[in-house]
Amino acid sequence: MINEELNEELVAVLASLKDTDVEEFSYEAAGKKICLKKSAAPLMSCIDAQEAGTAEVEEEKNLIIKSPMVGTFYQAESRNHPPFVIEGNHIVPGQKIGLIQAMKIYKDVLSDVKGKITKILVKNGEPVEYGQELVVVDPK
Amino acid sequence: MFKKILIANRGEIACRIIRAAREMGIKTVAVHSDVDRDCLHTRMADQAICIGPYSAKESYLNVSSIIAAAEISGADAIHPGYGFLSENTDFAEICESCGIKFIGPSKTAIEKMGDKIAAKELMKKSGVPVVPGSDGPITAETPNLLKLAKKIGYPVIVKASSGGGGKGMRIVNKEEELKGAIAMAMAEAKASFNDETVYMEKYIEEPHHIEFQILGDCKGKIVYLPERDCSIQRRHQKLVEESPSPFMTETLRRRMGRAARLAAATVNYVTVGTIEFLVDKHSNFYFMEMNTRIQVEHPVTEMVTGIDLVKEQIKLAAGEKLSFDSEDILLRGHAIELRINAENPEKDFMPCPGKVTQFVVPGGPGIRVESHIYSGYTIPPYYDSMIAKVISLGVDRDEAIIKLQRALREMIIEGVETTASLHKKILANENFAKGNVTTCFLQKNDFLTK
Repeated sequence: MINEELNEELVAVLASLKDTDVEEFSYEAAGKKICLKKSAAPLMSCIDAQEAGTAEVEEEKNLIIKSPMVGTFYQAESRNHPPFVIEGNHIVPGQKIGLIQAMKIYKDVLSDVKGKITKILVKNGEPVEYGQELVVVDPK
Repeated sequence: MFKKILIANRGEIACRIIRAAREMGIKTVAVHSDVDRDCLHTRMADQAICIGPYSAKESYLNVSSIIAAAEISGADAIHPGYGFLSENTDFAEICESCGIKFIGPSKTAIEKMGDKIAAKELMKKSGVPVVPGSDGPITAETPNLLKLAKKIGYPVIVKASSGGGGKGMRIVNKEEELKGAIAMAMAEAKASFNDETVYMEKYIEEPHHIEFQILGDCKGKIVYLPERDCSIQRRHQKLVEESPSPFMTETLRRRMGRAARLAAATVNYVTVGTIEFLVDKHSNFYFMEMNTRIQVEHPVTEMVTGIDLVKEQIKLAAGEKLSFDSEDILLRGHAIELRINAENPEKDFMPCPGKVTQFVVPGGPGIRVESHIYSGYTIPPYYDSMIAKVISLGVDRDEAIIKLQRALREMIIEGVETTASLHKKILANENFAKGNVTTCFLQKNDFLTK
């Protein structure tokens, strides 16, 4: 059992360590020795941990297809063609989901995931930058 | 005039160009790699577009991505800055074919000056003095190689044709070292530039590196500005630049300035560029190369002349005429620039990327700082290590030095090692104070640890 005085001291030390790069720490006082190792996740209360857990599941649920290059995004081969994919479609890795035009050259945007398209974030003919989110996919 | 300029660069030069454009009422587009999202130029510009991943090849050197960014943002001109695509003839040509103005000289001018061997040949023909040399590529098997080297006179230097930054260079003092040095320079040139072409010329011992800023308009008018002395170098990388040169005389300035003007006129040069010369102790000067772009050290010329070179460059690219002559230019004092690199001078200039935990910028009368870093900024390991330039303007050289010393005392950069510590020592050096600066300054004064 840690006495109250030591406990207070420990809390102060832990608080000051929080924003440092210190990974490991040992503390010896009043005949007690405590060793701590920082984990990747910040310390949190039980309730916080539960909430974080749910959020993680939420995030895991959706996969994002990002733009491989800067240019203009097209959903179809041309105006007379139907779009490659629409919301609700099931897609597989390697499937063409759009085109990006840069310097009059068209490059296929291929899916690297499997699942159902829940949202297309970019309109036909809209400029996109490298790494921009294009399509949200539900893997289930 | 242009409505919107895309800056195909990063770091301090991108910020510098954005500032000039903004003062001219021109909108700006910054492009950046995915790791440069927090770089200051992306925040300063009116618009920022991510053009690729961290590797320069896939972002700042990716021509199609940069053109695509110009197209989607509606930019009518591209400023290439220095480095990256600034001296790339294909890029200049593609810009033009896409109806986007390349802010720089013509493709032909870049081409003629880009090949260092061909450029020297051309200059020699036009009557610009050049260092005696092999007048073309050599290999260890070149017929009469030893005779040729003897005629030039030892020491000679073997250099890569597509070279820069000191790569693919070997100094040869004796005949028996020549063939080995050529082989080594060729291997290094092949590895660095994918071009093993090397040439040989006289090695000028302890030369001064003195360069002339030139400006050219589309009517064929060319003016030169007072020189910059960039003699303090480490492995052919400039560290300190100043204007005027402590070595210069009125007569030599006029002679060199005219040679620089002739060099630029030979390639019908438009916009801003720099003619670099080597000057020996007898005031013989030799054309070394031309940089067909704005240079890192342009601020020292701006400080002593009062001319905004980036604005002039944009105006000249837009077809405006030059409004002054070389003879109109008066020196307004003495300017010195220090390049602050994220490198550890104690550990053979090892690069020090990482988080800048604190950056306090020096200021006050006569001090100018060009930088893209700020407290909390993380310097990525993928690009150039230069993080700031500190420039001073004094009534004379002594005052310019005092102002820099004062500025370095004020400047705080925490979290990374920088060359500021080396600069403090250089500024306090007796030989530097006397203006005894040649390209051998750092070695001669024991600034380089083994």
